[in-house]
Amino acid sequence: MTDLIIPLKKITEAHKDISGGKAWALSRLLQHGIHVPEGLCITTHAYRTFVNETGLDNRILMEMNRKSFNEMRWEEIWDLSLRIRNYFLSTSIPPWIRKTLKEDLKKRFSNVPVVVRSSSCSEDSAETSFAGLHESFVNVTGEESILQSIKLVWASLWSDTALLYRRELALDVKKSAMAVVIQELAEGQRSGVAFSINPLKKNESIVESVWGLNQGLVDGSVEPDRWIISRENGEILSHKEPSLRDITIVAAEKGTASMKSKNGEIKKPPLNRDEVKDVFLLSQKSEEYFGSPQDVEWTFRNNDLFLLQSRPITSISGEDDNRQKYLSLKVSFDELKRLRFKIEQELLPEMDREADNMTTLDIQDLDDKDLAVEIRKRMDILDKWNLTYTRDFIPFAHGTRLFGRFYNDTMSPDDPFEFVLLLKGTEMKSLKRNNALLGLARRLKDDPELRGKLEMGQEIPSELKEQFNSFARDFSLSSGETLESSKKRAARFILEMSALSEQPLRGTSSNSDLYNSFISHFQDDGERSLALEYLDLGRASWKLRDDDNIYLAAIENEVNRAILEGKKRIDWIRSMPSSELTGEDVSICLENHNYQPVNRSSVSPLDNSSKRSSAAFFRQATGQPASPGTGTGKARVIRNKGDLMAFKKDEIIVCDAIEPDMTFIVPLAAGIVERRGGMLIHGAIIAREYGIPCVTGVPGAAEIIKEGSTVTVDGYLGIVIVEN
Amino acid sequence: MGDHTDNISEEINQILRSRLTAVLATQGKEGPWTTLVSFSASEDMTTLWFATSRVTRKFANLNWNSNVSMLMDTRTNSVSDLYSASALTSIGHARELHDTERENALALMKEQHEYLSAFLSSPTVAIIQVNIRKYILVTSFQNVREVTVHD
Repeated sequence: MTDLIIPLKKITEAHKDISGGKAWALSRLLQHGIHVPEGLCITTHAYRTFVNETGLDNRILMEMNRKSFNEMRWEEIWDLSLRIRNYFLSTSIPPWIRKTLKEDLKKRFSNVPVVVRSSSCSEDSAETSFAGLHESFVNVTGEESILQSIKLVWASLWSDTALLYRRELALDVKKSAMAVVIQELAEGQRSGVAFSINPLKKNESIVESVWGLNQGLVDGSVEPDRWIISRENGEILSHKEPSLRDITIVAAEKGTASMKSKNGEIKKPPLNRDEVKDVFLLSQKSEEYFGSPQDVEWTFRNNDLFLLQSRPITSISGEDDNRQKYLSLKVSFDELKRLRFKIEQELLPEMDREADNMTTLDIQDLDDKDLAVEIRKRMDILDKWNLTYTRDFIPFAHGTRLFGRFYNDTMSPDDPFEFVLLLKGTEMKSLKRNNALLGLARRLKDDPELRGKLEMGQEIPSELKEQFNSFARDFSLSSGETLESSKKRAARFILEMSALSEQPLRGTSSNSDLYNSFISHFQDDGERSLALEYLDLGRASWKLRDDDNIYLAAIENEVNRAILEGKKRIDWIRSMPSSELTGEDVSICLENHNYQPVNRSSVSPLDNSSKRSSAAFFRQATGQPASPGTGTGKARVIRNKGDLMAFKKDEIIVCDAIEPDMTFIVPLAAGIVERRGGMLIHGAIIAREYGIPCVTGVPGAAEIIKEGSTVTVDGYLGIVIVEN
Repeated sequence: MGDHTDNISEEINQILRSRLTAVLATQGKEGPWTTLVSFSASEDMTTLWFATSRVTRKFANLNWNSNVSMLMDTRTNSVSDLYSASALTSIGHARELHDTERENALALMKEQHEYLSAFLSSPTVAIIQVNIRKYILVTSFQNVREVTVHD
């Protein structure tokens, strides 16, 4: 034995700093006679030696210092942590460390299923609880699989949730290290948690229990039976049964699986009164040993009670635990499947219906009062969908991320974003719309007479007219320009687009080789069908990331249509810049023609990044490499939607963020530079679909790059070079 | 140090004040030539001075082509330099100083580089003034900003 790996029962005071909180606590309890499954601790020394000898420590620091952490959005932090996770997956453990670990693992766990859990240094102390933020793997068999799980637990030190939580606690990530606990899987028939003190009532304890393993209870997917116990005399004060005991988590061939509960278990609480008291006493014993209230995980295996882990309760007063905020960033496969059903079957059709209803209503026929009511009604509808967007659509983006992790764990690709190739090509609404526009442009190229008519503003054939008018109308509604002016500008834009008509789209090649190599990785039918389910979920999530914005924009346009109609009706408003009036102002004005709205200064939503002015000329700026390739062209800085129609072929889009109703200019662009960062954000998705180089997350992009300057976008390195 | 905030003058000043030596690049008949030189900077950062014997290759090169570049950086010869070191490149025009101009620059250099006073006092040493046209500051590995001093 070296100090890379130590049995729990041999951990002494001297190992406290290298064993991490969880291993330390388990070793104390084990050595104190409490029934704990025996196991090993892979110390922080092993972690540090691994990252140091492989150079991973410096690669991580390079990634971490690519951009100021405080300037990163959550999406960028997720991307960062995926890159780091991939480094861990693709870096081999040096032979001598591997040999040392493997020998001990084989000796103790040959063909025995184990759990592999994080035990980080600052973890599980009363001040900073990292419970649930790092990864654990249940039911892992064989030294190779255990070593792989150890690497993933190490990598979880750099997960998005852990990084954000450390930032909040102002902990120095560079000093972080991770130990790992490996214990024989105590495959209990009844499991649960216990709080030696009820965080809300200090004279009570809580015991919660489920049938099977407790993973479902811990991640919130299985509702437990819950008992409140008097700390004074151990009497059960109350028992609350769950609404259903229909799901049980059990050990599968690998990992865990959720099963329908057996008939006998559905009606019966997992514990009898005596067993509840046994669990209560176990929690009290742990509290007594550590001298502080404890949150204990336990299991009954064949009527033997095991303590699985014990950690201090962090919020006795019942204060909000910030950790919860970050834990909510983790969404499970089952939750995402439920969410997908809700979005595809209920929410999107309802949005469609609502937009249709608004489109068909002839608002010009409404009198002023009814129009005022209609504007308010539409604004309420928009508010409702904006809330839905935050509540349901944004979390569903995790489907893409979940597939990404699954793909990387399976394939260990060099490029951690290779999985995106399997997602693209699904029919996105914006691509369909852009293709229709390209079709129109193509017609113009082949038909000089038609081209001439459009240039002169003359009548064009009705089948094209409808499409053209719809494009001009959408632009008029989103930019606030009159329909007449929008038509002129739309005509110019489509003529510009006609130069593209012969060019095939660059990013629409098929990815069947990659797909086949991914699928052929699974020999077992069950595993293959699970992989396909992950891919299907990933694709649905990827598609929605774009489509949801289009659905929302359709509703937004209808709100704007009603507001514009209102503005037209009130003569005196015409002397004011229309952008200064809110929908609410317009409604009040329609009801009361003498109403004087408060003058508000208008701020374009596209121009909301922090102002950066500098004597310096930014020759080169770093962002995230969001779509590969390089492109050079004149910068077109998009500050508001009115700037879109002036866009010319082979220019570089420079903006705060690409919104869904801006994507029609993307096929013309030689490159894209965005302030908003991330590999999976709207602009990055569209850029990859068209195969256009894109760099996202360039701080102050629209301020540091001047309109008309020559810009080169390097989408491989994530840098933008500006010529003076 | 933020990369996009408006403190580039301060960042440049900090590097100029904290470094004793710079890499001087000159151009001669045989091609580019780099050497280490001790330097001083004017308070307004528009001018740099260094000293060289008149028999050196760099001095010969300066007579051949008076355009120079000087590099000052904060590297510590560790991997972390890649993301934490700053590198300041200056581009300018060099000329030898004489008479009062020479005396003033020499006094400043002697004050800042006391250990060089014997060298600086030698009559064979030329004091070279570089009028800076442009500074280029590289931080965080790949962020590059430029400031034009004299067109």
